[in-house]
Amino acid sequence: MSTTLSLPIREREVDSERVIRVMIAAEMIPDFCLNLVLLERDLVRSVLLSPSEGTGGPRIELHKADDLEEGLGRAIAQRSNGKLVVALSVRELGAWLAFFLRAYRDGEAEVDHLDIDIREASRVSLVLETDRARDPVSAEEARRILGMD
Amino acid sequence: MLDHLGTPLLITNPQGGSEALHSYFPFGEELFPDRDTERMKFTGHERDLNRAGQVDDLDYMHARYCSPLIGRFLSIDKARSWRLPLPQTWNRYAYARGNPLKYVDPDGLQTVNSTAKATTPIEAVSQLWRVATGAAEGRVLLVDAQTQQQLQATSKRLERFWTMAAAAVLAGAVVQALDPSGQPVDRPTKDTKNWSADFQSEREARAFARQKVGSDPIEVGPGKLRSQDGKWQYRAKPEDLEQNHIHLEELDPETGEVKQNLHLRWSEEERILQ
Repeated sequence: MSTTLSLPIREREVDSERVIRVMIAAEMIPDFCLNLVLLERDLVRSVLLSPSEGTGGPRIELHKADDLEEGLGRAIAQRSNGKLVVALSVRELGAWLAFFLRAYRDGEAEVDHLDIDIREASRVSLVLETDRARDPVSAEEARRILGMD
Repeated sequence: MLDHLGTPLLITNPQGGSEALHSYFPFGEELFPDRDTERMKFTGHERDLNRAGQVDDLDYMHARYCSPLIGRFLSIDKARSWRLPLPQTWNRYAYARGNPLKYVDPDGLQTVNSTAKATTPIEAVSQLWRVATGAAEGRVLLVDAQTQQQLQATSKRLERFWTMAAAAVLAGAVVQALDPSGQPVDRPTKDTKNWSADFQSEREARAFARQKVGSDPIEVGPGKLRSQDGKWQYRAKPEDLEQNHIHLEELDPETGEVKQNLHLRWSEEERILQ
């Protein structure tokens, strides 16, 4: 069994790398989290992210790959009939879920996007964007936090 | 010339010159299937080629057909050769007890130990994978830095490799590789702390990141520089720069786990050269 979510998905090429941006707007975060939980708990075989009307990106089919050793990367993918089939490591899936659950809990994400390096035939980056993120701290505050004063 | 499983790896002409080299994944899927029209493939069995390299190519093993892509026979073991003490034999569709580096199935009815040694000069890619998989006693593809670089030397090979690796993962195989630099691959976890900071300029953001990665960082991938002690990583891809930010990540140097991921942002439009 699979589930489908319709989301804005866009794809373009930047310096010979394909960049796919998926927008998870604040109101979609609960649905997105629920679908990730279904995948994590093996209650669905895959989650299909389908581009909403007018956005024109590829369909993205997410799978959990229990045995994907992370030395190969966090995710691995292949294109099939215009669809990007992505196998996520368990750890990667957990990282996505924690990020979006915290965004749900706090009403805003920690940052406005997550970058995911995907191993595919050509280089692909998947960017999960949010439209509501915490304000950045100042450079001075960053220096203080990292002990660089 | 055959390997220890009886798989023809090097095809020669009557003068002894090399015609084609063949490389295989552990269960017989060919790495570069378009090299010639040779039909005797994995473990010396004839491959039914629908079209070379297509996923529905099957190995004719006399009593049964075997799919090299999924590493399984397409029909059940008619010899009923399963044994209670050997759980690997309980699956009567399994090929060579799940250990295709050690065992072969000459006729689709039995699994036998292959004792002959490799006799040929084997292409490095094939050899490394075979050695690694043998060591791991399972369906593992281990790709070291040298092999990755060899694969990356031609885009067609790279395309083929990642496509097949993805297929292997989706079919349930364990796939493992080392970062070309020998450093652990960076991997966020559920505990990764993400936060962002505003800088006045790209120059200031880069200087901040460089202060952490030091003056002699290791390039671990495209746009990724890591400090010599492996604790800090500076990540700046073209897409990031277009969006006016770079990343500074704190890593566990042993595991590559990302402890924190700091987005360094700036608002200026003007770009500077690295």
